[in-house]
Amino acid sequence: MKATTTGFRIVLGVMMGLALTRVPCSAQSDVGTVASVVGALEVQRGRDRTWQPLLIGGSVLRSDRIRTGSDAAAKIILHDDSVLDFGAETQLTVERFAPDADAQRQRSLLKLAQGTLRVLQVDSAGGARGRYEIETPTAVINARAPAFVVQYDVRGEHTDVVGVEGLVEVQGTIGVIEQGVQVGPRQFTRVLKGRLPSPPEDLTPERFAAYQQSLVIVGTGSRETLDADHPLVAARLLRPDDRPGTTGRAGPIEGSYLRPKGPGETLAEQYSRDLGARTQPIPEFRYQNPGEVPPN
Amino acid sequence: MKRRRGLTGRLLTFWAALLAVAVVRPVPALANARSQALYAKGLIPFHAGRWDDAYRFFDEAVGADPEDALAVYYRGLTEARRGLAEPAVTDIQLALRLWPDLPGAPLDLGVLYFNAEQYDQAEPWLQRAYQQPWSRFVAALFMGVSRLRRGDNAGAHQFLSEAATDPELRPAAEYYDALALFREGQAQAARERLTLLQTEHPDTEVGRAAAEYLQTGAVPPAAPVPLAAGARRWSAYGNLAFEYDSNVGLAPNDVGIQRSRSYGRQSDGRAVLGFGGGYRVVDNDQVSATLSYGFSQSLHVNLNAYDLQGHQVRLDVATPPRPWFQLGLSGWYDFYALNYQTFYQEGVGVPWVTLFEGRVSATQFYYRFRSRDYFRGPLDPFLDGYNNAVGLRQYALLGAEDRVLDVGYQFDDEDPISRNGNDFQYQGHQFDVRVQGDLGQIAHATGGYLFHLMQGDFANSRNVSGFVRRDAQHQFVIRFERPVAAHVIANLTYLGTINVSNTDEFSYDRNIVSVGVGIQF
Repeated sequence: MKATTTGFRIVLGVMMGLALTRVPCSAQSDVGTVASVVGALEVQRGRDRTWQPLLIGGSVLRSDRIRTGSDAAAKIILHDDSVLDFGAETQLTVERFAPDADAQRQRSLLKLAQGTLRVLQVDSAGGARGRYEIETPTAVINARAPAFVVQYDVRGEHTDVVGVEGLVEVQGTIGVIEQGVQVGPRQFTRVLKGRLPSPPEDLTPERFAAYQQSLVIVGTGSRETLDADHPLVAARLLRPDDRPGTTGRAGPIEGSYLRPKGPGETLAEQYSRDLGARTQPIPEFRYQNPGEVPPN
Repeated sequence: MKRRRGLTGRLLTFWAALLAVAVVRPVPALANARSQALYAKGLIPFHAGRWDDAYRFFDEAVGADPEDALAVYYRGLTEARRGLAEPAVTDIQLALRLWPDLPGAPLDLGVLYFNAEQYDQAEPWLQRAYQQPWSRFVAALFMGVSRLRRGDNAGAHQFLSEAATDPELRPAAEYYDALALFREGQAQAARERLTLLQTEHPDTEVGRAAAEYLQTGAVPPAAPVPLAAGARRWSAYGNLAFEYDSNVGLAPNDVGIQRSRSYGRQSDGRAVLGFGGGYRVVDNDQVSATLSYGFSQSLHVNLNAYDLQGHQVRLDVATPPRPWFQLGLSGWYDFYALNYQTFYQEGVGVPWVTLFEGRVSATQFYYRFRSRDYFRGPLDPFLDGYNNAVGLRQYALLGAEDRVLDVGYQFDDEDPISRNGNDFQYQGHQFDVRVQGDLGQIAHATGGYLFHLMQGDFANSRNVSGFVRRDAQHQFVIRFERPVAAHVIANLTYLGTINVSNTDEFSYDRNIVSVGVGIQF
């Protein structure tokens, strides 16, 4: 068992070393940080075609290909304070990232190959902060809107764009020079392969919620409830007197456990004065004093 | 390995629960984009334990959308991590109102109330968490310890046994379950749990505590509490008992002697009243001194001539217990009246030292001087005299703070003052053993046996053959005490004495059974 554990540690160490060497950070610029992960979140970085796990706090680099697994979700904060929410089985490439200062001159380009993506981009006034262009196989979305959802269905080969806040401009990939459609809050448009966007439609509250439901993650996806690092769960003693045989009194642990009192009377004398104080047969003394001749 | 599997399993369960919540159950009303973005930004410092930074983002998020349930919830969690329990409770309860199915929130509220030792308030939240599959076992752990704190040991055992089925929670659950079993009086089962715990989880704090207990039988005492300003310096007691005494006059067992003396064995019942109190006149880092007084009066049903009244004034001076020793001096004066007439008085002085051997054993050495003076016949002046004694007593814990065994030996020399008192001059060897401890939650029990061999120095005037008197006295004590209300303790006591003497006039036996109730403050 010990050898197995040692071997496991060696293999783990080698793998970690390889992982570190195979995911270069310096060659590409850091564009964001993973804030939440539920399930699998993986990255394909640089020329390396293998998928590496991406953990909370991990960096997202320009040109990274990111994907989530089935029953998974993730949240990434970009350095322009935009938030990308990934649904299950989503794959995205950060083709280009425009820092905040360049946002007016250059758009950030995200390529959504499949799945669901929600973009939140707001400034302190509540308006859109960045300027994103999102490409799917069937649509191009130019958005300065504070919040919107893009969903590409690989099987159906169509893109759904849902407005959450602000106006989102959507075009088909075949007609980028054509006039696109503008999708407002609680509206959606669908772009089929080789088609132009459908006219925007209002969504029922249920359908609107359904597009975003799978994007909700509670916290970082780690266990963050208050029991997580609680001393009780960590198998620590909550009180100094949480010891066998005690009755629950509190007090620091130090010195001897014993506190004997000073010597005193015997146990019987403590519990009965009548026993302790009268130790001689008084009638016998009345009958005959010591040293005296017994009465006839 | 078990721990890793348990943790992974719980995380997978947790993720599955979160997804189930997100996908199947209704999500809260969607917060505005700004609030959601600020909440998301707060998660990074939150995950890194930078609570102040996290709080700032969550607080801004709540400002952007006061109905963002997740932002409110995480502000509450952050407040809890910063030690601000009250606002944490407020925020988490608000988050639950905004999103009634918010996972984790009931458990968090239960833990917050648990931490504040508000177990009644914790219970309903922990119950809610217990109903959720992903938090069932951890809620069971907290509920178990909560029940233990409230004195519901059976309830604690039920929940802790269930919590112990989760590998990650097993060490804590088994340890606290052992405590519950101890307090239920199931010491054997408790020890079995601790044995398993120290084997399977030796590196945990509870595993080490279990090992310490099993190896040394030791438990830490509540350390002496320094006298705080305004702390109570006085103590008081009162008691009332009804006793049966099989041989009030200590008549000899020999019926022939009884007949020849025209007195016989007489049993009787009596009531015994006692009260007293003490006052700590000095209490500092160097010394403490307590002055106390006690009064007792027995009232016999028939044999009123044996009604005994006692007064005792006592002074106890001692240093605080040092790591390896304690010094003390005790002295007391007794005055007795028999049949409401002066009987005798005595003064006793006892200097002593206690040496602590480690944490579970101590030895006490003492010298005792006693001077006794009878006021009137028939015992005056024959039993007036001095008694010098030296003794030692060895104390040892038997696995619990209140379970103590002590064994003592004493040599004493009785030196009567009057010439005819030589009948009672002796050198004595006394051995005694005492044990006390709790019988579960039923009662506190004390048992003792004492053997006192008294070898006379001179021929006894009652022995025609002229050999010296030799007495061997056996004393037996069994006492049970049980609290029946605050400050009120009921007791049942048996006291037995068998005095075997080569002088038949002094051979007797005596049995006393006492039922009483006492109050202590």
